[in-house]
Amino acid sequence: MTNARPTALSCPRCGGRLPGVASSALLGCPSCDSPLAVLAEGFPVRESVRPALGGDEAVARTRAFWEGRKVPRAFLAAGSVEEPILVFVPFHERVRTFVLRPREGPVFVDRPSFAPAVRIPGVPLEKLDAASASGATAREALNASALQRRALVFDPTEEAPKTPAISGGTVVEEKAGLVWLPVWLVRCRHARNLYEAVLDGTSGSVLHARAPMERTTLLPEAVFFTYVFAFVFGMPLAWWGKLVAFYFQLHWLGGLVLTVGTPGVVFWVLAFAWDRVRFRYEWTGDRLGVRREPVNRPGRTLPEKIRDGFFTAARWLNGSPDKEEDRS
Amino acid sequence: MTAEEHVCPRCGIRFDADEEGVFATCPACGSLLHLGDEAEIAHQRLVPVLDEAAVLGRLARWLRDREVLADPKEVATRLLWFPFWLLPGDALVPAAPLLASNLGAFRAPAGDRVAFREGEAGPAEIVPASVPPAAIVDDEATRRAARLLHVPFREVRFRLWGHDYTVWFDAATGQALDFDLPPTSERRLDVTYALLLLALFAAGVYGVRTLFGGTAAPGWVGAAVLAGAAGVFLAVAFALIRLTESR
Repeated sequence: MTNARPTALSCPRCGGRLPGVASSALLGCPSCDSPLAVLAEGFPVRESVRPALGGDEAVARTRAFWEGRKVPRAFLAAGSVEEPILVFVPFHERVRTFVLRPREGPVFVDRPSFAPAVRIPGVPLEKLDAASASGATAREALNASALQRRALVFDPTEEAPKTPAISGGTVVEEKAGLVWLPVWLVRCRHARNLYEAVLDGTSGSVLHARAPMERTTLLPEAVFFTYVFAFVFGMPLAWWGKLVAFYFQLHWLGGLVLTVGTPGVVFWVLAFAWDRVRFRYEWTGDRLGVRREPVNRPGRTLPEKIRDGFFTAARWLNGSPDKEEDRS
Repeated sequence: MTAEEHVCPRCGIRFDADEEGVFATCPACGSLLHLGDEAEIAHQRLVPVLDEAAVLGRLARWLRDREVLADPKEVATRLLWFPFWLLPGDALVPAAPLLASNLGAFRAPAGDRVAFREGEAGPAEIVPASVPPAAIVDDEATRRAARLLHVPFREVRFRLWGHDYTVWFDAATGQALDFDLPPTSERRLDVTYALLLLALFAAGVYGVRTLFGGTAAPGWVGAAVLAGAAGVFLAVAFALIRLTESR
């Protein structure tokens, strides 16, 4: 929020007194209804971009984004989707005009740059193509009061980043401003959890989205892994004896290692399988693609612990290089 | 009178008043303001009563209610003041952008209300009001009756399963405002699932042993047990997952 000094304003058309409007660059004259732009020296130009997408379209885009993915059938069904939220987020806009090759004849080039002027947890504004979004539809002078009636309008809280120097060109003009870009937030509740999608309000592209994974997908894997281990543990003991004898025929030391190592590997695969089937997963997507991520998996689980245990045991058998390094 | 910074008691906008006399007009909402000592008493704030230890207890209870059974890591708390428009009937509307997911269920907290003065808020962050009443209500009478209420919140940030979460607890009554929900643990489903896998494993071992002649039963019985157990497991697990999702 700025500490702008209040100034008595009057309409240039009818001379009527104008009420001040905070955070606004556009107001209507209360006497003659003329649309008036208010420009204050020293303050950046404030504009907003009208969304090209409605709330229903935002929900439809979100549904289309997850179509074909293994998500539960009830996900994004009518009734589980909350009213989409339209958010206007401020971006610092800087347009630098520079001259290229001034000796061969000046060529003026505009280079715009954008940076988010606010941070909103859960809304990855850095993924928004602000240059495209800012020119997607007609710009309007910011009328915060009007926007606030249908959307959440965030104030700029972040400083504009420093722009890097342009090599081979001389900057002749630099314009700084703030532009409010529309973003849709679509939220859906499923099985007591909350999933959201953030969409560019001008193009409808998904900036970030999460969805639950259809949990029945993992059931065939669970059956497969369980039967693999049923086979390992259920096969006659004599087969194990033959396997060990075969190891020792190859090499006595190798046989010893394989005799100990085979159950270890079997145990590790068992742990891996258990780890794979026991955690829940969700889809995380953006413009680059969709990934599968575990939602309730700690940083280290049984497979990692067993793997680390193997390495620790190997180090202990070989003499710990760490300790030797410490000694040296 | 020299230019001085004032806070509009109605809409919370800060402004410099350089008008002559003891009255000024708010540049945001147009209210006529008296610039005397009592200029800011129309703002109200709730008195915070929950300290940090109590809030951590609330967090534990909130996680338990959501069936989140893991321990949160890197827990950090801070106090902040968030402005709400208090409308007739004790309806609360945020006076600044707020993306809490359960805002609709948030009620005006009970508690002692005192005059709001910025200096008395301590080092806590004060979120400025930026949404004028005109943007939230059309009715002129309701708009005039709207009063700004600064609600103290204890913001709790924590890390769980590799993700960051933020919850606000109002420091007067402990109501939670969440911004992103940690996933439920569903321990019962996990335990049932594990038991099912164990049963499948037992059936699998029996089936394999029978298949290789390790039991008195003929080999085809082993194959039938393997196929039947897999079918039963899939059907029960499928039904269990659907049941959990419908809760």
